[in-house]
Parts: sequence; structure tokens; C-alpha cells
Amino acid sequence: MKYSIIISRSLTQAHQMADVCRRAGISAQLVRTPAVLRQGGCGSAVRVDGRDLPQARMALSRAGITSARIYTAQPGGGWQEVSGDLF
Amino acid sequence: MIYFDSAATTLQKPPSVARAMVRTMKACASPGRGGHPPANRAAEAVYRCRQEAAGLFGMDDPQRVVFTSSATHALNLAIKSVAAPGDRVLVSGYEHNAVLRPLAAIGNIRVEQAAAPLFDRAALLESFLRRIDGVSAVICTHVSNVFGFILPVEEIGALCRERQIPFVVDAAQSAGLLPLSFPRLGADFVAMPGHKSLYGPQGTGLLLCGERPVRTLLEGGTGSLSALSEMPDFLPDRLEAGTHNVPGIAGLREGIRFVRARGPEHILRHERQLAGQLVGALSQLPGVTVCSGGPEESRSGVVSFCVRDTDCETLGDLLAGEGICVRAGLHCAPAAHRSAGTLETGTVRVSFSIFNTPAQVRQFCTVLRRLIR
Repeated sequence: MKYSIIISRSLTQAHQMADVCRRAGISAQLVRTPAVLRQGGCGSAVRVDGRDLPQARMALSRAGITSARIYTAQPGGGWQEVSGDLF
Repeated sequence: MIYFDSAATTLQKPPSVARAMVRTMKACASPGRGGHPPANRAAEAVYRCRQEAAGLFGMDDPQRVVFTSSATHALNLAIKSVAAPGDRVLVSGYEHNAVLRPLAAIGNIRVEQAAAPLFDRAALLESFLRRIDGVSAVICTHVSNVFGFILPVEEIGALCRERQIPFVVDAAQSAGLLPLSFPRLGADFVAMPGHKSLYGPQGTGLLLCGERPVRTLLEGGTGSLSALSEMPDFLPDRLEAGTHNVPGIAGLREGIRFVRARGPEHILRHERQLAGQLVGALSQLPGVTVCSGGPEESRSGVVSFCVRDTDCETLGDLLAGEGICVRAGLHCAPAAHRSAGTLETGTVRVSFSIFNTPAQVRQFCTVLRRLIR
């Protein structure tokens, strides 16, 4: 399954993001930020189904969460950063 | 036993508080320190409490709710973020040592007191207005822990906002009891314990933070930005180094849920009724002087009194011997006693919670009448 992760700056923000996604009807799971994606050390992220990503971005934006790095897991391993004007 | 010392710690808690703590002890590890279920459960417990507290105090952003070990810890964080050597800081005449000692420890701070006749809100506000220009920060308790007097913190906050002066509120005696909206109050920081009128366990506290930068008291692991040698610059991580008191926080969440379900207004009304009943009965007793926060609308559920020719600590001990728990002495608030002229004698303080009853007040008065005869 294709999935994406939205990297938060803190565990608390990750919870906040997951709550926003769930309230928008999107299944969201808290995960640790994969080591290769870390900037500055350990961190937390929210994992969502790739198909739900546009809706998740919209919900987060509406909730005032305007900056986060987003990556999509690649079929052969590795990550692709989602580009564009995200939030 | 009759427990009338809730201004120190509420002893009776909703049963859900202890249940949540035991459940958390058995099932939760450290939030943010792993991706396994016990760590995730801990993170969930901590976040849900943050959310519950944000809800109670009208805050949109739970990230601005910081967990501390006590109101004292929270006040130290706030005070040391807004005051530095050489500053002039304005306080009320009702402050606790949790405000005065951190200021003294910073050193070379001119602490000015907004003086006014006892329990006169308008005169107190006028005194703040007269002295506020040019100060570096204002720190004010919301409710006197000695007299239950409610200070006009919203109006003092407005004075600070007009002048962009940092404003710290000590809500040790008001959080959970008086309706308290962080946005409406306009304070930069509000500090409170979890173990008083929020009905949580000892060892918990909260600091509600606005937009001002904060200085750390402790540095250490946060589970975030671990490769950096500095603390994260964002809340709550910046102020939450080390492992959280997860069982305490889970218990605090249940306490806050209890308060939200009952409503602070309802709890305040109950405590005021008991305080009114007690003040009425005490004023009938010969030799008793009541020191309580003025008219009903300006006081909470705290009543202080002295008995002529009777040492307050001795009376406290005698009451304890009768199974009645009160607090006697200076209540860690010498400034408040100085303001009231009771610094030498101290007072006996009776403080209520939602679990006290009018029958307990009647029994207290019967016992007291016998003891001071």
C-alpha cells in the first residue's frame, strides 16, 4: 500500500495532526520519523494512506498547521518528498 | 476526619483519578521515547491531558500547555523567562513565596508592591495603574492562598497589554475553581498546580504559555531533535526535559475532566456557600477575628481567622487532635500576612473543596467553640 508520512516538529504536534486528520475522516497513525528523513535527530510523524494525502493536507491547512515536510514511501524502498505548495 | 486544607492539596479526589494512575503505571512507558505500544499509550495519555487542559482554559493550541511538577515549578519557568537582574517587577501584596523567592534568587531585582487597603479590588487596580509604567514585568496571584481574596487579574492584564509588559498569573488557588480563559486573561504565562482545585495528584502542574520566548530551567532529553545539543525552540518540548510523570498526568486528566463536568462555577458556588456559612458562625464566637476576602463576589472558598490569646499553631494541633485538618501559620505567604497585619501571629486557614458539606462546617464550629472556651 502506498502511504505518506507528514513529519511534525514534536510528538504533541503529531498528536494534534493525527486528531485533525481523524476528525476529517482520515485514518492516521503516529509513527517515529524514519532515520533517513530526520533533520536534527529523533522525531514524530503521522502516517496516512497515500490516497488520503490531499484531503489530509487540506484538513491540516484549515486547522492552521501550515508547515511540515511530507514524504511518500516508494515501492522499491526509499522516500520521495512531496513537492508543491503544500499548506 | 474532616479535611479542610484543600488550598494546600485537595485530599479527596474523584475515584477516576487513582484508577487512571494505576492503569497508566501498568501499561504506559515514556512518551516520545519509542514507537512501541507502551510508549505510544504514554504519549496518548499525555496528549489527552494537554488537550483537556487546553479545553478547560479556552486555548486552541495544546502545544502551549506545558507540564510541570507543581505551580512553583511553573512559576519559576515563567518568572525566570520575564525577569532579569536590574529589572523592576511589580507584584501584589498577596504573593506567595513561589513568586517572591524566585525573584529574590534572580538577584538585583527591584520588587515593587501595589499596595492598597485589604480586600479592595478597585484600590488595588488603581495602585497597579499608578506604578506600572516602566516596570519590566507584572506578576500577580489570582486568589490569595491565605484569605481567598480574588484579585482583578483581568483588569491588571489589560493594563499590561496596553503597555506590552509581560504578565504572569499565579493561578494556584483559582485554576479549576474560577472560570479562567487564557485568551481573555491576556497573560503571557499562567501557572497552576494539578493537585488543588484541578483534583489531580501531587507532583503535577501546568504552565499555560503565550507567545513570549521562554527560558529553560532544565535541559535534557525530549525525544525530539536529539542530534542537537540545544533544547528545541518550540513548545512544549522546550520546557519538558526528561521523562514525564505519566501516571500523574493521566490522573490529572481525570481531575480536569471532573472539573469540566461539574463546571468551575458550580464548584465555586458550593465552596462560597460553605465559606459564607463558616464566616457567619465564626463571627458569633467571642474572641474570633475573621480575615476573609471581603464581599462574597471577591472571595473564594478560603477563610482565615485568629482567636484572641490563642496561638494559631496550637489551635491547628488541637483541631487535628479532633480529626479536623486545617492549616495554621503563615501559609508560605508572608507578604499577604504583612498586608493584613497578621505576620506575627499567623492565622488558622480553613479551605474547602467540592467534597465538603455544610454538616462538616457545623461540626467544625461545634468543636472550635469547645476548644476556645
